[in-house]
Amino acid sequence: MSIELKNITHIYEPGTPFEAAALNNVSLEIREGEKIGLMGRTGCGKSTLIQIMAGLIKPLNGNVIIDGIDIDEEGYDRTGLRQKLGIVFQYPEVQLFETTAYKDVAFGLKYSDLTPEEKDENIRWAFEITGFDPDKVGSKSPLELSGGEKRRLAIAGVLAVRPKYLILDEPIAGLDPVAREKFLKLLRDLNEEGMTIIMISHNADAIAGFADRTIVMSNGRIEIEGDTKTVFMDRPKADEAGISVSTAGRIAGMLRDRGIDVSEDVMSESELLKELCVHFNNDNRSEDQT
Amino acid sequence: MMRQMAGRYIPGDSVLHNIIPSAKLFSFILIIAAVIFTNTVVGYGAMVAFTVCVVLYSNTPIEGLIKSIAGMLPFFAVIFVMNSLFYSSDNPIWKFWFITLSKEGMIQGLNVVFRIAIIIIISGVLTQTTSTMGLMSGIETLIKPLKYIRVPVEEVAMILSVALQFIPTLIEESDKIKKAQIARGARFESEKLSERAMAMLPMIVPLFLSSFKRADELSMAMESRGYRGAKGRTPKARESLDRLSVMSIIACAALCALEVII
Ligand SMILES: Nc1ncnc2c1ncn2[C@@H]1O[C@H](COP(=O)(O)OP(=O)(O)OP(=O)(O)O)[C@@H](O)[C@H]1O
Ligand SMILES: [Mg+2]
Repeated sequence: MSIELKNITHIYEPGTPFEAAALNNVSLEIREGEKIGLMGRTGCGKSTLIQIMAGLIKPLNGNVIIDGIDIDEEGYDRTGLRQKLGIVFQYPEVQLFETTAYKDVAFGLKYSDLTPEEKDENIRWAFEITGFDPDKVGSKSPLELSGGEKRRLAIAGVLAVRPKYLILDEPIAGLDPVAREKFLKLLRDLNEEGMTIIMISHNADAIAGFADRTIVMSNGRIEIEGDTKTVFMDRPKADEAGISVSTAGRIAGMLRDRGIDVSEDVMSESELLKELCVHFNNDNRSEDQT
Repeated sequence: MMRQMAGRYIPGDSVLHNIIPSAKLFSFILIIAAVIFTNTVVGYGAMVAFTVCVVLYSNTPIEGLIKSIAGMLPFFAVIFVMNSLFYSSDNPIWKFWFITLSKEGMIQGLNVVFRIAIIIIISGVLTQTTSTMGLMSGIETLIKPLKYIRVPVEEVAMILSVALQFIPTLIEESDKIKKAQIARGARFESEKLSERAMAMLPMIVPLFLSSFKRADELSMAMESRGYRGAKGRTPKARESLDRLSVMSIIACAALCALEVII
């Protein structure tokens, strides 16, 4: 089970004076259960790529194959696709429209085959996992919520169908550091439960701490792709594609410069912490012995 | 999607791009008048020749124009059929109950279709060769005389220009919201009309909310930059009528006169 993109090429408004090339022969496979980070400079085609993946834009050329079936095939079950692939756009809070939070979260389940009880269960789960109490917030109008809460509610609305694949376009832009950490934890938990997650972000720290695999795009092509660590370690290439070193990586570098022995491949905060613990424990032990 | 609308401004340096907006708008009004007065074969010939010249001088991509006319074909067909069947004529070809098929009716139908087609082409060329700002300043100049009957001309111009500048943003926003709702399983293509109205709610509500929010932010931004109504603002530099613009007005006036006379 996977999402497969085959030789995708896309140009916006071809044949007009406003023609804009967005993707150039992109091929990619995303396997079930992966945590994917998608990075690249502004305008390199990330948002276009994920919208094509979700069947929201039909590419000029190429195929999108989800779980083995081409989504442009005659008679493809689009409703089924909507139930297994969720997409969270940048600033998803604009999509709230129902009179109550509960109804809004329930919207995606309108055409699902689940029984009312199962639907209710899904909705409550979506509320809880995004940090809401469904009994308290469910009857409120989405307009009464704060900006951050609105965003979480919109995400709950996408999660309510329990999609197998979840795609997020810069979900952490504009969140404070605590909210960001919480949100990344939510994504990790969802992934633990088996959800495949594809996240676009400009934030090197978030990607370094989250993704198993990182894809870096540049000018409508996939420039670097591979294990997150390998991608971030390949500095010449990463710099060229505009991918900065993560904060933890930078701190590790500074520590090394000052003679503290931290391994070269530290990327994320947790790795740095682990290294430092090992280091200081060793120090303590050597002091104990003397 | 909607960005492909025919008639979107395409920057360029054609003859029509260079006519100053107020003169171009005034010429446009003259052409509309000419179209309305057209009623002889020679008149039609002149009108077609004139339209061809306008299109050629504007460097507009022909396919776009053909597409926008082709899109109107069903509408044209309806107008033609209605006119040919319901024109009350003394010597009908065929009569049944209240339906009268007549030659006069068919000619009348062709007339109407022809006029609408010409107006669509000409206004398409106008908006393709004039930027939004240009259109605005043109309208402002043309409605200036209304000041003497106490119309707040500057305010009207400001309202129009703000509204016009929001259109691309709104289109982009509605495109984004539509995609987001489709991704959540919304169906905008329901069969029943009543259902279709309901199905539009997921799009209309967010669009309204974000427009109000935008309007709010804009008014605050304008106030914080010291906007206190149009009174006392430094007037914009006036574009003076150059030879090209005068010639455009003369040509259109001549066409209009020709259509009136013959
Ligand atoms: N609806 C559209 N119509 C025309 N051109 C578009 C449209 N959307 C995107 N483009 C163009 O396609 C290219 C790729 O855009 P895309 O939105 O995929 O970039 P991105 O990588 O998501 O950028 P960002 O990081 O800024 O979100 C850009 O050059 C952009 O100008
Ligand atoms: Mg984007």
